[in-house]
Amino acid sequence: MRISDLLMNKTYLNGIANNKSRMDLLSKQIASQSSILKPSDSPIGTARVLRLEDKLSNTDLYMKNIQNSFGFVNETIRGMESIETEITNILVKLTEANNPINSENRANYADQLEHALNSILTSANMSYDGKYVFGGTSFSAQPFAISSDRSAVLQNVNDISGKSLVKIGNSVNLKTNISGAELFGTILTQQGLFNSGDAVGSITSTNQTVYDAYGNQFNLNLEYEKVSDKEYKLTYSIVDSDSNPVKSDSLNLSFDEYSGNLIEINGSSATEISINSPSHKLNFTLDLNAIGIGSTSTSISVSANQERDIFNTIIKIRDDLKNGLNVNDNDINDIKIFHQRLLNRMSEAGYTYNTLDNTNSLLDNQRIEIESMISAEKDVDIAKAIIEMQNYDYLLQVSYKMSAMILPKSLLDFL
Amino acid sequence: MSLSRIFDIAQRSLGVYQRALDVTSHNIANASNPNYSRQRVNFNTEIPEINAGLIWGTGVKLDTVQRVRNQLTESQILYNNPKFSYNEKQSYLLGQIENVFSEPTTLGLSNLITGFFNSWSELSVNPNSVPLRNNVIYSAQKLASKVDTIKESFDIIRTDIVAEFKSSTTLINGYLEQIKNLNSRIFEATGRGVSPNDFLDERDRLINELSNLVNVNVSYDNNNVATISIGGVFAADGTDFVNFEIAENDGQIALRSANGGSIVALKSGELNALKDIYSSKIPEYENKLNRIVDTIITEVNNIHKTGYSIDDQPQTGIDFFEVTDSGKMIINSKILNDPNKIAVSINGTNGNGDLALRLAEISNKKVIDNLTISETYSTLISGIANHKQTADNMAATDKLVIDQLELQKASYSGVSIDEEMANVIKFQRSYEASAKLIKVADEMLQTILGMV
Repeated sequence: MRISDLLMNKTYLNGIANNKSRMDLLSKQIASQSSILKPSDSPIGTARVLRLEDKLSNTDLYMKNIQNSFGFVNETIRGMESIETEITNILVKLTEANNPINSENRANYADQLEHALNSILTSANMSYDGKYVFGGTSFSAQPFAISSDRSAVLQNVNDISGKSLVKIGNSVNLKTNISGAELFGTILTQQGLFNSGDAVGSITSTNQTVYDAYGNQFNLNLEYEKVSDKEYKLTYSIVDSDSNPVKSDSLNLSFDEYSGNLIEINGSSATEISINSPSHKLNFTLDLNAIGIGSTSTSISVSANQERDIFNTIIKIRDDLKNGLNVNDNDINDIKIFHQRLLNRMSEAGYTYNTLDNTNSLLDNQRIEIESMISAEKDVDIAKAIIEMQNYDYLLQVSYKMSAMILPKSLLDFL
Repeated sequence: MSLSRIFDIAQRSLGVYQRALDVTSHNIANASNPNYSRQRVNFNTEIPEINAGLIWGTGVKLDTVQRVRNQLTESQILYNNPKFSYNEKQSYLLGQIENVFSEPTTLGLSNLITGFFNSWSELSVNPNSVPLRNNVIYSAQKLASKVDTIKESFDIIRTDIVAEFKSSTTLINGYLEQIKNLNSRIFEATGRGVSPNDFLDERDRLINELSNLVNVNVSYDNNNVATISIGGVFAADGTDFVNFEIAENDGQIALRSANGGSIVALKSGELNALKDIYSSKIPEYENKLNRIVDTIITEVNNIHKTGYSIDDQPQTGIDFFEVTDSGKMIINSKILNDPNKIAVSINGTNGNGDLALRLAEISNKKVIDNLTISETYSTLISGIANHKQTADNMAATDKLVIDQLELQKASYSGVSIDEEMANVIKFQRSYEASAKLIKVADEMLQTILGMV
């Protein structure tokens, strides 16, 4: 090959430029400690890093949500523990009050029940970070209030059945509250199966007596009309003891095609509805979870967990004691039932707390794993990069030395 | 034989070697000129005389001064040059587009999209918290601002491309005019039997520069006149040249001959890269970005308008984003003025955050061609990155080929100082010998004259 001066110049310059380009990249990587400075450095790596960082950000968010929920759940448990202490005391006092030896002291026991009621009411209205712990999702006012003549405890806001859901995973929303309706409210449970062979337009009806806060009776009529194979229209109506209409509404119920279970009410994935008539002090939840469609029908029936809530049961007992009456065994039984319900809800809140705690630990581990995956994808092996840099630096110096030695020389120097 | 013949031979020889030294000095002077092709003197024996039954040599003659070049190598350079400049320009422009997205950093759109949806999730825990409501607005503002910045950057890149396209077109017109002028001078010199080596070098340089900008086709006639066409459209020959101009229409740019003439079929070169990025790549990326932005706006609004604000009288039917042009993200001014207008309650109770959860869930829903918003965005970024990397790799490959061809050209046509200095010595010695010959002939003549 013929060697011209231009050829030698170009060869040296190309070599030096390649060397410097590599050194430039290495120095940028060392300075930023990232091997992906721009997406084109590694298109697949960039997509992976974006996905992992998205995941990391979500993990951080779930952990933050969990931290924010801990306080609320703790406060819920604390509130229920206070109520539980009062309920246990009430049960002891009622046993004492029914003892003939204490018949003279019934008024005193009535006073003690009044104090207990105040204490339970205070716990039921407790708030945390501006949110009423047992207010469901209604935070505009205290969930419960006692009437001015202290004859009844009334629900102070329209709806206390709201569920507070917190996102703690990609598709995991954890209910972190115990709503007032769940703990104190009246729940009517509807159960039974509609026959899948029933004709469209066929109607099934049930009735149930419901009570307001003062103990007044109302009649709830429930009517299910088959609209299609998987849809029923529920029409409910409430009338007072004089058959005056109080409230009525219609709802569309959708059932699962295969299992026959209820899946939607009015297009939302819910199985219970809250029915409230503030003007009549009527508040209860209608739980439709146990109805469905089957090849054979079972009777459609409805049952209530309580006639009146714990507050008004205590008020009734207080009034009985004030009037020198013995405590009715049914009333004591109602308090025991509430006590059991309270313990169940405390256990549920404890489970929620444990779930939050366990999920937090899992997310913490997941966070470390994601960070190490991001690190593996884009972090620079500094030691390797520096050694490479030194190697290129050495080669560059050799190139400079060689070109400085060879390029200026020609035959001219020896003539 | 007469003594005068020796004078004649020596005198001719002096002229030839002086000219050879001229050529050598021209070579040495251009040793560092990358566009110069070394020239070589071709000597030949002067036609001998036949006299008295004998052949009498008449000395040396300078046959031609030849431009040393390898036509095959230069054709390959001309073929590969526009490919390299196309890929290099694409790589440069795609690098600018890539930088616009600021990925993979915390300032990138990916992080801002995630932050926006996460702000809803945070709000769902404390739906009536005004600071968290403001946080949703700030996250949306940051996202909208980044979208605006990206779109503005696209506009700036587009404006720069048009400016560069026009400037390159002016350069092309200049090159073509110079080529046409050189063609006519080459024709004239060739007609007179002179080798127009330096004109040819200059014309080659211009064709080379032209090939960086556009795909050119060159053909030569017997008089060494080059006829140039660009993308199938006549551009220049020995008598004429065509001016070109930019053609802009409906978001596309093209090159056409002046005054609304034929559109050039650009296939490579810098201008084709400018055209491709302007007419194809930027609209493609912008449409994908618009689709992501429009999907966010539609999905958020569809859910948001079903919820209730936390005013004294809860309102429903409020859009979170104002619906304007495609790809434009503007937060509803009512929400900007009053964060309580953000609707996250599904039933009107002020502590219900179910809607915020549903809004946060949008980030996990496969809403664009069975992909989530983040996945679609990630596909857009990796698409740009792949285009850039492909252009980088192809430019690097083309550069290797071009470098190799340039080295071959330098090896073949480049000046070697050593070689030229050896020639200087050789021609100088020949010149000295010829001069000495005249002296010898003179002495011989003196000797004869002394005998008289």
